Amino acid sequence: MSLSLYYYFQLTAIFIMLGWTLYWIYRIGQLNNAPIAIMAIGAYLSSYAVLKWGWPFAAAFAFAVICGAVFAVIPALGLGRAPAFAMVIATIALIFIMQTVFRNLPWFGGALGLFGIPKIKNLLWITYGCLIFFGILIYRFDHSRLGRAADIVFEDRDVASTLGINIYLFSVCLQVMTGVMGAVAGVLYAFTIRTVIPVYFGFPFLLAITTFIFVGGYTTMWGVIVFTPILWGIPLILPESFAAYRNFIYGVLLMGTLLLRSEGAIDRRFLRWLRKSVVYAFEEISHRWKKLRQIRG
Amino acid sequence: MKVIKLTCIALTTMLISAFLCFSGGGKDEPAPGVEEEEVEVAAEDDVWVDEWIFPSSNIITGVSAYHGMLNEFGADMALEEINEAGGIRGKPVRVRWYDEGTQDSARAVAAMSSMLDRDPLLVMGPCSDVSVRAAVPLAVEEGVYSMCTLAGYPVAREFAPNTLSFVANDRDQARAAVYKWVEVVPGMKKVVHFTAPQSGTWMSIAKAENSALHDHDIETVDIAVPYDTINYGPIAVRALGENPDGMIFTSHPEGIAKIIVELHKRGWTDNPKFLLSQAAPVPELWQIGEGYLDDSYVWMWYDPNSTNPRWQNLSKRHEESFGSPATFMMVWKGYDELYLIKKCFEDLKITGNPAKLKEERIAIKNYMNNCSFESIFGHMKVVDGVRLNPTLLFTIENNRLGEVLVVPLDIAM
Repeated sequence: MSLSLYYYFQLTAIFIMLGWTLYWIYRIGQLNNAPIAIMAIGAYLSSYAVLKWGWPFAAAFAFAVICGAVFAVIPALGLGRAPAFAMVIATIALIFIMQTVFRNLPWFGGALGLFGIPKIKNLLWITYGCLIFFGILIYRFDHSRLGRAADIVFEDRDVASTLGINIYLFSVCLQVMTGVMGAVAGVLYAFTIRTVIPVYFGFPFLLAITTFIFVGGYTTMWGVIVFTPILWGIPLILPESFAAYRNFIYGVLLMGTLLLRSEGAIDRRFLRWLRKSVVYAFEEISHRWKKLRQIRG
Repeated sequence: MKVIKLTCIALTTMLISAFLCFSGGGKDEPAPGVEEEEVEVAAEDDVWVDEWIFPSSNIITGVSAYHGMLNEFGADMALEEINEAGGIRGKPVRVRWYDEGTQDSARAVAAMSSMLDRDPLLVMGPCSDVSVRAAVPLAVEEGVYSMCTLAGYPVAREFAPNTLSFVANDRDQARAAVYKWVEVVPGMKKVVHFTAPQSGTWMSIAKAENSALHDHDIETVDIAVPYDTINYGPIAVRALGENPDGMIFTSHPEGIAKIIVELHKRGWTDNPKFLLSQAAPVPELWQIGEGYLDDSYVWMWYDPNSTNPRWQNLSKRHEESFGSPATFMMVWKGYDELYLIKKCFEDLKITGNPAKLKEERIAIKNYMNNCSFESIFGHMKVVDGVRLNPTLLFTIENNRLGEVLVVPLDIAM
């Protein structure tokens, strides 16, 4: 596999995971950016454990993810009842706090960060293993009674409360789960890029991920899967003279999608239509096949 | 049915296009027969390629796209001159640009991997320290020499001997500049240092400047200047509250200019006790700080007032295009890189033959780490992969760089 293809697949998988972190918590109407901050924790702690303590990758991975999960609980307890807007602002602040903390901790290399992170064999397989694992988890969530509960919370919190859904607990659990996913993405990112600097985990990252999810569609998990590879690949597909227009293209796509399809390109209606169409197509094909066999027979 | 058909066609086309685009494409390799013939005929020295294509990682998008534009401006001028003079070893030269984004590690890695997929002899860039940190390890692993740009000395040294730092040894240079400044402005006991914690490069320069101050028993107080500061008044007030004897500015030019304006509004008049770091003299500094900067000192490691005709020519063109003379290093970086490549390729008789790729890459690396060439400012030496320059301490006169003191680096050794 060529180097560019390898990094394309690797980074796409990490971005999909990050997209899912936003998607998952948005199922209950909260936009939580904390996973980006927790991603920094995952990246820094795993790199530090490998570089300074000489831990094997698996141990560093587990350590970073556990620390990420523990850290995710702290803001989650405070933000469990926060309205959507307050959560957006608070978690953006968390990103800046985390960047500042890592920039000022000398044992994490300060502004210069950590470097010389060793190359991990089969990282692509590990990444896609994690992606599939989280994909199945979210799919199961979406198609369980928890997913249906999330739909009700998204539509009307009061109604959800009257139906016996503990919104606070629900939110805390989802924030911790997305925190875990953020930490995993952070570890994978650190071992992909193999250096960690505080500026990596900042606002541009958040904007890119937000674009992927809002263009792709935030009501299903499939929007991120389909549109992250496309949007991330746009600058690679475009001829070099058009590369400068990347942000313009992102902006137009985002605005166009929000104006024309406010729920993103792939929403539930589209999925229903696709499912019906596929079933119809199969029925049609099998019907014609049977007819053909009858004629030939 | 029609909709399904159309959807299927669209999705299939997208999938095929994506695979074709990301598969790295066909490499520029000749048919097997042709290669054998060329290898035979090539007889060591003959150039194998029809055109030299050098990949360059550049900041094309994001808030620092201005840097990338200047880089391209200088490189284009060098390309024009080199191609008019017959190219490199008789073959025309072209640069293929790749976007590394602004402080975007993922984009930098994507750009570098795309460049490396084309089996280049060397790569120009990356530019920012974030990109250098993220992308240069890939080049190092592939054995490709990287001419990284803005990354400061400590960052560039991490990857030695596989990188050429177009930023000189800023640690020794910063120390030498401060030693000279303390000598020409004696009697300082306490200095406030405006720093930019967001930038590893600037922080390492600030650290070197502080160490030089400490050598003179001068107390230092660091004040961080965030990039996104709107009101610089409180920063100025805080600095004045420390009752300093002098101030050093190692931060972004816009911030420096605004702080100096705020300091003047609050009664500061002793400009010789300001020392501005090398990245400061760009148009923002002159525009925002106009009328407040005269008599301050600026240290740099190249001379924007150079009378070298090549520099004058570039500076004139820059003024025609952008309305001000060239001062920022990105404008000559691409220019000098291409002239260094030209000299290297001609001296080593590089052929570009894929069969010799490995040995030619090693030869380029060894050559570039210790060489000399005619830079846009005159004769320039590279030692152990770092450009050697003396430190230049300028006084600002009439809102531009004026008188200059040449400071030898050993003053602070």
